[in-house]
Order: sequence, then C-alpha cells, then structure tokens
Amino acid sequence: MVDTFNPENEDHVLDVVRWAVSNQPDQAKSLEIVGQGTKRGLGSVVQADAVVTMSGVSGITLYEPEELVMTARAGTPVVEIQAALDEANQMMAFEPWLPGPLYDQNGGTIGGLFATAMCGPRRPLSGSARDHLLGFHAISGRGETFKSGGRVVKNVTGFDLSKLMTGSMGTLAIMTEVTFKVLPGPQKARTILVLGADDPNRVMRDAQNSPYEVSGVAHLPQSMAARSSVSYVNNGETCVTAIRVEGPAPSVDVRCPALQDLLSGYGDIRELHTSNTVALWQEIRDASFFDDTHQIWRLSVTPSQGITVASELTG
Amino acid sequence: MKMPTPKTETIARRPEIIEALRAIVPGEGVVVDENELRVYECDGLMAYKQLPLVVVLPQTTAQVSQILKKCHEMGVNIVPRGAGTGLSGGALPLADGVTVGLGKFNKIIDVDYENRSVVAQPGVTNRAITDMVEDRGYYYAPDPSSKIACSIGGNVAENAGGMHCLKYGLTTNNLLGLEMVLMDGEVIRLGGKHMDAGGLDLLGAVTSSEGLLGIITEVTVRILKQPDTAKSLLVGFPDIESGGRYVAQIISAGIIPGAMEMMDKMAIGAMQDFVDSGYPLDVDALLVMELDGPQAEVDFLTGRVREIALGVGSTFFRVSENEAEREQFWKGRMSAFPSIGRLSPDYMVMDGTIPRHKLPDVLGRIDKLAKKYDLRVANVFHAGDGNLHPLILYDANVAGELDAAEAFGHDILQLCVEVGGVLSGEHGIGVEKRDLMGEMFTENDMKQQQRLKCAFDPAGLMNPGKVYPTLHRCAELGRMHVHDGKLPFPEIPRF
Ligand SMILES: Cc1cc2nc3c(=O)[nH]c(=O)nc-3n(C[C@H](O)[C@H](O)[C@H](O)COP(=O)(O)OP(=O)(O)OC[C@H]3O[C@@H](n4cnc5c(N)ncnc54)[C@H](O)[C@@H]3O)c2cc1C
Repeated sequence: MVDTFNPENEDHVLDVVRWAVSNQPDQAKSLEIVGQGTKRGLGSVVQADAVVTMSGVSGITLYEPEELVMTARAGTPVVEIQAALDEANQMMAFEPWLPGPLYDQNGGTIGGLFATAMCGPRRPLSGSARDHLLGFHAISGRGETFKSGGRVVKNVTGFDLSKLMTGSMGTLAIMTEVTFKVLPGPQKARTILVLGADDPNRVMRDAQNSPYEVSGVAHLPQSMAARSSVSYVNNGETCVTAIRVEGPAPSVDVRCPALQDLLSGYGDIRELHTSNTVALWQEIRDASFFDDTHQIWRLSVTPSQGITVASELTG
Repeated sequence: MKMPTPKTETIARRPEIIEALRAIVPGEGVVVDENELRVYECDGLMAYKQLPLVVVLPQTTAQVSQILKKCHEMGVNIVPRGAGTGLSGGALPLADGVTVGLGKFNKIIDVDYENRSVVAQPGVTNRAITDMVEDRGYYYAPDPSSKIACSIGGNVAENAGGMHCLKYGLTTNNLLGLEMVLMDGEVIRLGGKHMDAGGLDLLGAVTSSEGLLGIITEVTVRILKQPDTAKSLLVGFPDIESGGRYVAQIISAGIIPGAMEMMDKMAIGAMQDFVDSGYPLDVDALLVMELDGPQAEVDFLTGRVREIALGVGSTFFRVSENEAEREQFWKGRMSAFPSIGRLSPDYMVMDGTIPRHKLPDVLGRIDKLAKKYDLRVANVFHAGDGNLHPLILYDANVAGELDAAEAFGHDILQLCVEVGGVLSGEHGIGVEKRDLMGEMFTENDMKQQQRLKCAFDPAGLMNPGKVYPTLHRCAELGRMHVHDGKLPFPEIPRF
C-alpha cells in the first residue's frame, strides 16, 4: 500500500518532499498530490510511491472584498470559499467547473481548482483560472519553498509563474497557498433561448459580435436540452441555443430586448429569469447532463469551428 | 547599476559576426556604423546608454531563426528590441551583444471578425491594430499611453497595461497565440485563435518575460466590440484620502468602471497647464473615470457614482456631454509625462503597484521622502488597480541630484513592497529595478524563476543582465541539494 501523508501546514509539506528527495537518486520517492481527490478522474491515473493529501493545509488567510482579492491555503474547500464570496456578493468570475453533479462529490479544494485550470461559460468574457491567479507559495520538487507573483493585479516583477502553475496538474510543485482575484457578482442575469436554430454557429457569433456584452453562449443539441431541469429548455423538443446577459438591472433590461431583436430571425425566442438562468448555466458549467458512466472530453477550439468539430465527432 | 562584463573575445570577433549576419540578412539590414548604431543606444530609460556590438533588422522568421542559431553557435549575446519605448532598460544594448530589431516585422497578417482575433507581426504598433478594425466597430483593449509608438511584441514582452485594463485586462488577458524563436533557432508556436490549450501554459509564461526567453515573431490577439456609449467623468476631492475612499467604495458597490485614474495637485496643475482638459485647480485629488456600455447602463452607473461621490465629500463632479468633451477630459491624463516633464529638466517615472487602500498612507510617506531628498514629485495613479506612477523631478546638471532621485526611487519601490505591493506594475524590471528584486524575492524564489529561463535558453545568451541581479549558470541551478533526513517525519499525520 502506498504511504499517504496528511500534512497540516507548509512545514509538514516541506518535510514530506525533503524525505522523498533525500533518498539515493534511484530510490527517490515519487509523490502524487491531491486535494480532496475530486478531480482524480481527469487525465490519466497517477502511480506514485506516496500520496500527499493537502486538505489539511486549509483556511482563508486574507479576504479583502474592496480590494477584490483573496488568499487561501491550498487545501481550503471550494465550498468554504464560495460561502465567503457569496456573503460579500462576489465571485470567482471565471466560473470554475465543479465536480459535484458529475461525480457526486463536493467542490474539491482551491489548490486543486487552480492546478486543473478549471473555467466555465464566462471564459470568453472574464478569462480562465489562469487570468485570476495572482500569486502562490509552493514547495518545489527539490524540497525548497518558493513564491511567485503577489496580491495585486498589475505585476510585471519577474516571470509569471502563476500562469505555469495553473493547469499544471500537480506536476511542477506543491502549491501551499494561492492568491486570486475576485469580482463583484452580477446584479441581474437573464438568458435568451433560441429554439431550433438551423445554424447555431451564426446565432452564437452574432450574439458575441454584438455590443451587448454577452457573458456566455452555449448550444445544446435536442438530446442534451431534454436532460435539463429548466422547463423552457427541456420542453421544446428542439435544440436550444442559450445566450446569457448579466449586469446592473437597467442595463440587462435594455440588452435583452436588443438581443432578442437581433436573433429573432434564427428561431423561436424565450427568456429565462434569474433563478432559471442560474440553474441552466450551472448545468452547462458542470456538464451535469452526463453522469460518471460517460467519458467526457473538453475541447477548446477556434470559436467558429465549434459546431463543425462537435458534429464531426458525433458523426 | 552594473552590466555583466562584456566578453572581449566576442568583441574581437566583431568582423566575423558582421559577415555571418550579412550572409543571413543582406544589404542594409545589418547596421554597423557608429552613427547609425547611436539610434539604438538606449530605450525609453535614457539614463543608461550603450552602443550595441551590431544591430540586425531581419524581415522573416526564417532569418530570425538563422541569426539566433548562428549567435548560439558563436556564443554571442542577443538583445531583442521592439520600438524601444520600454521604460526599464529591457532593450538596453550590450557591448558584446547583437541587438535584433523587429521594426521590419510591421504587417498585420490576418483579421478574423468571425473569431474576433487579429494576427500581427511583432513590430506592428499597438494602435495600428485598433486602427485596422475600428471601422467595423472593434478595438484592441490594452491601451498603453505609448500606443502610437510601442510594438505589440514589446507589449507581450512587458505585459503592457493601460487606462482600460481595470475592466478589460492586461496584454496577457487579451493574447491568444504566439510564434517565437528560441535561442538555438527553433521556431515554436504557442496557443492560436482558441482560448485554452492542453499542457503547460507557456503562452502565459512567455508574456512579461522581458525578452529573456526568445524572440516573438508573430502575435495573435483578441479584439472586442466597441461599447455603444462611453462617457468620461471628472471627480475632484479636497484631499487624497477622500479620493482613495471613493475608489474603494465604488469597487465595494460592485462597479468596475472602464477606467479610473487619479492624480495629485501637482500633476493636475501641470496637465491643465499643458493642455486645457477641463481640470479643476482647486482640488487636491482628481479622478478621471470612464463608464462604458449600453447607454442605459452608463446612465445608471453615472447616477450611482455621483451618489457615492457626494457621500465621500467630493467638491467637483462633471460628466462629459459629448465625444469631444470625453476626449478633452482624457487629454491631460494621456499627456502626463510631457506635461510634468515641463516642470523640470529631467524626471524619472516610477511604476510600483500597491493594494489600493494603502494609497493615502503611501502618498503621505512619498511626500515625506520628497522632503528628505529635497526633490519634487508628482503622482499619477491607475487608481482602479493600484498601479502608482510617481514622477520624480530632478536636474541631472546639478551635482548629486541624479543620485538623490535614484535613491528616492528605490525608497518608493521598497515602500510599495513593504505595504504588500510589487516593484513593477507594467514597465517591467529590465535593468532599472533589477538590483531591487531581492526586496521582493528570496534567493530561492529567483532561482526557481531562472530555472524557467534555463528551459528556454540554457546557454544564457538571451538578454543577459536584465531582470535578475545574479546570473546563475544553468548547471548550478540544476544541482540538487540532498537533505539528510530519512525518517518519514513522525509529526506529520499519516494513514
Ligand atoms: C511616453 C510613454 C508612455 C508609456 N505608457 C505606458 C503605459 O501606459 N503602459 C505600459 O504598460 N507601458 C507604457 N510605457 C512603456 C512601454 O511603452 C511598454 O513597455 C511597451 O510595451 C514597450 O514596447 P516596445 O515595442 O517599445 O519594446 P522595447 O522597449 O523595444 O522592448 C521592451 C522589452 O521587450 C523586449 N522585446 C521587444 N520586442 C520583443 C520581441 N519581439 N520578442 C521578444 N522580446 C521583445 C525587449 O528585449 C525589452 O526587454 C510607456 C512608455 C513611454 C515612453
């Protein structure tokens, strides 16, 4: 059985790595780094000599809402972070995918979230995890502590190692603490549904090329739309193209009708209010139309090729 | 500031190097005459000057690749250079180095409205990208004040910012792809027109690497649709503290304006004097803001920021009534450097970032330092993201003033780090702040960064002497320190 270490602070993590590298080169130990293990299903299976579980290195160490910044130890549960953000009406604007619905798990840890570079439907407007990690502390595979970045958004002080750590899947170093940017949550959110569009690519392109600042576009083929819990989406017996609009109420109130006008030629139009909007985009974010018997791929392609690639894959 | 000792054997081989370069880039593309080399002796940081060994101006990626391959073989240092507007000496030549100027890479290769992206050669100016797509209602968001001159390749190398970065992000957030040439001549492509790629985010790591990792030969950026409406606002305060409180309250109210710039009394006076921008002279702090989006949103937010302004005791509030006035409000701020430059024979631009709420404290302490050094300082500030630009006024012809100004500058940057900020927000470290890196980073931190450098340029030939105060050989950085302990640490809880 492999050894499992449960460090409770940075020093413990350092000790584990030093132990792993202190052996003769041919006996050095390999380590698998996990948070709560909720995203172990991503990528290939790791076979390491020992496992380092980071969930004991936990706690929010700094949260200044008016500075739009939070620092947390890597093992802090995402749900704990979410709760603190909700209280201040703020969010991780990149809308990270949460493994909950799909794998019947809780939200994982914040370190795991950045190490897997999760992002969601707001990606085109607000960027990905990489655009929000401002700095981190870590233990290198040489058994040394180091840090990079800082707690401010504008920073050209040395190489931007935060970008490298985001999405490194635990292969570069063990992050012990992360500092990231948070943003105010939207006051109001609406979704425009275009039902049965012949050319969903054009719907999405026109919406994104409009000045109405859409914060998410998605296309659900009929078979997927039918699995949604949102009634307008699953009732239609057609495919559904969804466009999300967020912002201050008076702004959403003019952008929605403007988009409806713009897209009315493409199919029947419906509009979702806040709670349905939240529900639908959570489903889209978490790919909760599937369950863990499916193999799920996430492809990032040139926008105009999305539909083509998808239809080629499904034949 | 000391540069690494030039290699005399390289200097001795100059004729041979020139010949090799001429074989790659024919005709006038290899610059050797002292008079012509003068053009390249410094960048925007004019306190430091050095004639390059040679300048080469390639036109194709293949030429860049051959140049680097050849210099790699001969062990010759390389300095990449865009438009030379950098303010930290990143493009400062080396006496034993070939400066590779990207000025001839000046074409826009592809404009793709369908995918909202533009592919450009690195020597294209920042502003030229917006110019290219403006008539279709698009723009490229990062807008450094130097936009008409600086190159997009230089923007990537410095992760350039601008007034609108608060809402729309820095270069790194608007960059989709790159082609670059590594020191051994290998050509690599990172990213593309899509948003994310598998594997490590090398695109992100190359951005802001200040020409230390390779030469960028092609850039793909995102373009955005221009907002329906944009209005600018002038909001004045009797003191810096209330200005600082105002900024904090706007953000707390969930509002992220398109831009939010602040300046102190000396800066306001200098700018208004330089160009009539409608700035009030009876305030101690002035904010120039921009609100953009659909008309209804702009109107609504204007109401909100007005209420907040009244609440913190603002004494001046004006909203631009038309496009001409909107531009007028920006004129002063856009010409910050020349207007303040008129107050003094010489000035030095600083560029630290601090947590926003430290602003009144930091400005107070900068004021005290000004008295200590007996120098004047004017402050302009990207208030939304905490990026401070104190301009230190001095006269290089007065004995000791340059030294005093430099010491003053160092103190300011130390102060930024002390309050939780960083040495550079957008101008980069270059040679200017190189020796201050230790204020922010431990030896381990810097070694870890330099290992990235080793992965791209193990011979250490690409822009040496910049950013990092100590040059470690890659072999030395690769050495492992084996630690003694064998025990699996009893105090760590285990299964
Ligand atoms: C008046 C004025 C106002 C300014 N305002 C701003 C501002 O608002 N915001 C801001 O961020 N900056 C500002 N700057 C600084 C400067 O314009 C930016 O840093 C700009 O990005 C530098 O671009 P450049 O083409 O001039 O690069 P250069 O000065 O030529 O080079 C800068 C660095 O990039 C490297 N480099 C250049 N091209 C390449 C390439 N193709 N491949 C690899 N490395 C390369 C060089 O080696 C060097 O280290 C200002 C400068 C001036 C003079």
